[in-house]
Amino acid sequence: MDAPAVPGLTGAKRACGIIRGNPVRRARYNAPMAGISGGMEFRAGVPIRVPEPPGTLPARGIRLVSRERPEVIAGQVVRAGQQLFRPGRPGMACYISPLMGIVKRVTPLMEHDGESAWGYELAIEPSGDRAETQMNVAPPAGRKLESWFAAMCQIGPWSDADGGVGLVPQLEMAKERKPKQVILVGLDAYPPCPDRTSLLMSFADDAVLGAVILADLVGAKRTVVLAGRGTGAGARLKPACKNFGAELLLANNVYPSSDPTLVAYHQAGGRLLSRGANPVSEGLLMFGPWTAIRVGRWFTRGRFDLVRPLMMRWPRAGEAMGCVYGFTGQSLASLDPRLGEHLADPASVVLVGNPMTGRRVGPVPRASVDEPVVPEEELLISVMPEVPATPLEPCIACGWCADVCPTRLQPVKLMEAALSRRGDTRLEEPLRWCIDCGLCSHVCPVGLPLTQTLRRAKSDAESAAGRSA
Amino acid sequence: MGAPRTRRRVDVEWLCVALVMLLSGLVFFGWRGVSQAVTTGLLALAGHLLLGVVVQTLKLRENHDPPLHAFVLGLLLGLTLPVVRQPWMPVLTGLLLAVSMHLVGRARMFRVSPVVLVLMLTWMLGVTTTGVADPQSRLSPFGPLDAVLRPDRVIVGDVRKAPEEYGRRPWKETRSVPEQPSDAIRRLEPARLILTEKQRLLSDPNQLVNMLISGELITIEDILRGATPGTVGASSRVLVIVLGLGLMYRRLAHKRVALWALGSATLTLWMMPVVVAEGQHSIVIARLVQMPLSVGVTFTGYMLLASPFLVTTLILAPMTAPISGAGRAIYGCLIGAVGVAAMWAFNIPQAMFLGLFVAGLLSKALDELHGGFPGRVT
Repeated sequence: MDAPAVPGLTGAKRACGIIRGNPVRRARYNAPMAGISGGMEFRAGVPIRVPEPPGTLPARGIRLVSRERPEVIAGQVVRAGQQLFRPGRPGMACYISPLMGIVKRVTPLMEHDGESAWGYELAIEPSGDRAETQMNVAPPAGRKLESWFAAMCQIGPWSDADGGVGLVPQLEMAKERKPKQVILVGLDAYPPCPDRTSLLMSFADDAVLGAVILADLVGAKRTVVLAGRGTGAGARLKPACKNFGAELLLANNVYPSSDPTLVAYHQAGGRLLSRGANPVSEGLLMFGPWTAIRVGRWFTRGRFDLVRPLMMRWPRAGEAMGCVYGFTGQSLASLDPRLGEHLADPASVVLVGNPMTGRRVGPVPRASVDEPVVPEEELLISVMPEVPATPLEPCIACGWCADVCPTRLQPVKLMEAALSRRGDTRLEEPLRWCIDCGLCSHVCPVGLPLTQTLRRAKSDAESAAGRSA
Repeated sequence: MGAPRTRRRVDVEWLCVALVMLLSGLVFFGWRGVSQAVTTGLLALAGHLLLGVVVQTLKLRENHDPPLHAFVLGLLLGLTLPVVRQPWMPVLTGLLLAVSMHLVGRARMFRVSPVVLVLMLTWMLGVTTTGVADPQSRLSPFGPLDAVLRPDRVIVGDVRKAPEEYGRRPWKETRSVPEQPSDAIRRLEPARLILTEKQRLLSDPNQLVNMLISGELITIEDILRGATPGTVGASSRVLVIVLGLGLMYRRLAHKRVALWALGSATLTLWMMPVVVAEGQHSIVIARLVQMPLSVGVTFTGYMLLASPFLVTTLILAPMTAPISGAGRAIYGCLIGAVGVAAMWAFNIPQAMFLGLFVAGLLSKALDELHGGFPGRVT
């Protein structure tokens, strides 16, 4: 993560610069979110109204990357809904084409050794001017999980961000082990940009219905809609929850309380879920608002959404978020001319995701083959204001990184260990609990690259574990 | 848009704390107190820059401490010392601090505050300590000044223009009279007096009350206000408490350290040995329970308020606190326990800094006492 600008902070907290290390223990935090240390309270942004997806969108080329070998070859004509990538194994979702077009190229993505391919890139050129945003496919009849699961696998991709592992792997595990709760996580991943709240407020009925459908499919007794307190989402969601028999839970949105690890900690009675573990193993099925809305809309309209909403966070303070719809794999620059300008400008920092954990994309020249594309798992694109570079200094042991860490790690100690014992598998266990929230880097007064180093150490440890296996 | 706090911003916040303390020093010790603190700060800055050039030229190590940090530490050191007679003392302490900054500090191997190290060195030299039992020795060319400006001469007065005899009236009631013009009043440092008289105070329940009424002991109001000799910038205990709370609000200090230090200091004080009669030993708490509750509370509170306990715990301790929560608790305990025990044993109020020195030495090891989520996996 590149050094992000800092979002606004509330009142006195803004002056303070760093927020309470122990916010959830204060009385104003409601019980379900109590019990953990760390986290940070940012000034929440204003939700926006997300419009209904348009019937058609201008057709643009798409570029998809998958670990699996494509089902199509260069020059082949594909239709909307045609399977592009075969599922890697049974029980995974496939990848369908969102539009009609011709496969322009299929490029193997080589490993560092240059001998084997780790994945494939597929580029499709649209054959028409406009593309349908929905596909005529009826949802399965009945309430059998197997039939819904099979249908969902045929119309992928589904976001991998749901519950940290994706909806489909959770449903697959739910076939074996019935989850007790289904949780629609409507807490914002980054409160200053209330993307999830905006979606929940704009599609309240569809979101709650989608959650209830999924709960019914997996046989969960409890359907929980977890939304941010004080955002207005409560009033908007209450009637829908009452209609569909879901439980509305309003929680203060302390960053990063929407992370699956922390949601599981609160909702599963203090049991822990490390990064990348399937929530169903703790009796929970978790997903975000857009997944629930997609399921709800599919059920009520009988048409499946091929587009996904993307919120834009602009660099100017106080400017409202923007929202556009796009196909997964479509060039980001084609979504909004302003975004295109920022992507082409080397001075601009554009992140896919939120300012704390986002991945930097660009700068790239216009119409380049490396143009960043609409991601499958993120709802937010952040255009950051310029941040002056800070020189690296040694740790001054302020302890703020440990204070804000929501999983109670000592990031600076882990970083030192990671730097001195790179690739050591003994670091694997503590690193599993790093949820990449980015708070440690954010609060570090000397600008140590804590999150970045831990992320790299994690991948090194995983590689080392893979090699030893 | 806000901005994350950089190290420079942290230093600026500490500078604000030091400037408020400097203002307090100006009120009670006039230009002499301020010039001493500023000289220490400037000498620390100059020495740091000079040593930084030498260190970088010889390529011994990289100099990471910014000049502002050196100046702030120098100011804090100058403000923690009492007003001294020797003009070379600020120069010496400032230069000592500059050298110490290259050896110890929160970003170094030994996480001892350089300010505390210099305070310990000056304590050993005995030139800034106020623990000598004989009050007459304070008139010697060495040692700190036992004086504070009169209420009608605050800010503008010269703290050296004090009469020979010690005053007993409350500070507010002292005024300069035409027949004996003076800017300051001479007063015994309360912590030193109570340490010297501790055996007598604990033997007789009425002794403390009598000393307070007679003015032999400075009243608690004057201690809270700051009209007592001692540290230049931290003589006002109310101000130190307010600054400490401010530092906690800004998350530069930790309430856990302060609370554990207070608890352990109180307990240690109660457990200190005391000679009741010839050959008869007891502990403080055993004597205090035999006295009225109000006397016991006053003795304990007075001992902690009058000593440099507050400036140690609230202003200096945060600079070298451990990262872990449990470590901070132990760090606080060490500051309180070792500090009070040293003060009691040496009869010197400034021995309180020994607690901080010892706690600082162990601070890095205390970081390891950290329980995280992985430790609580069910």
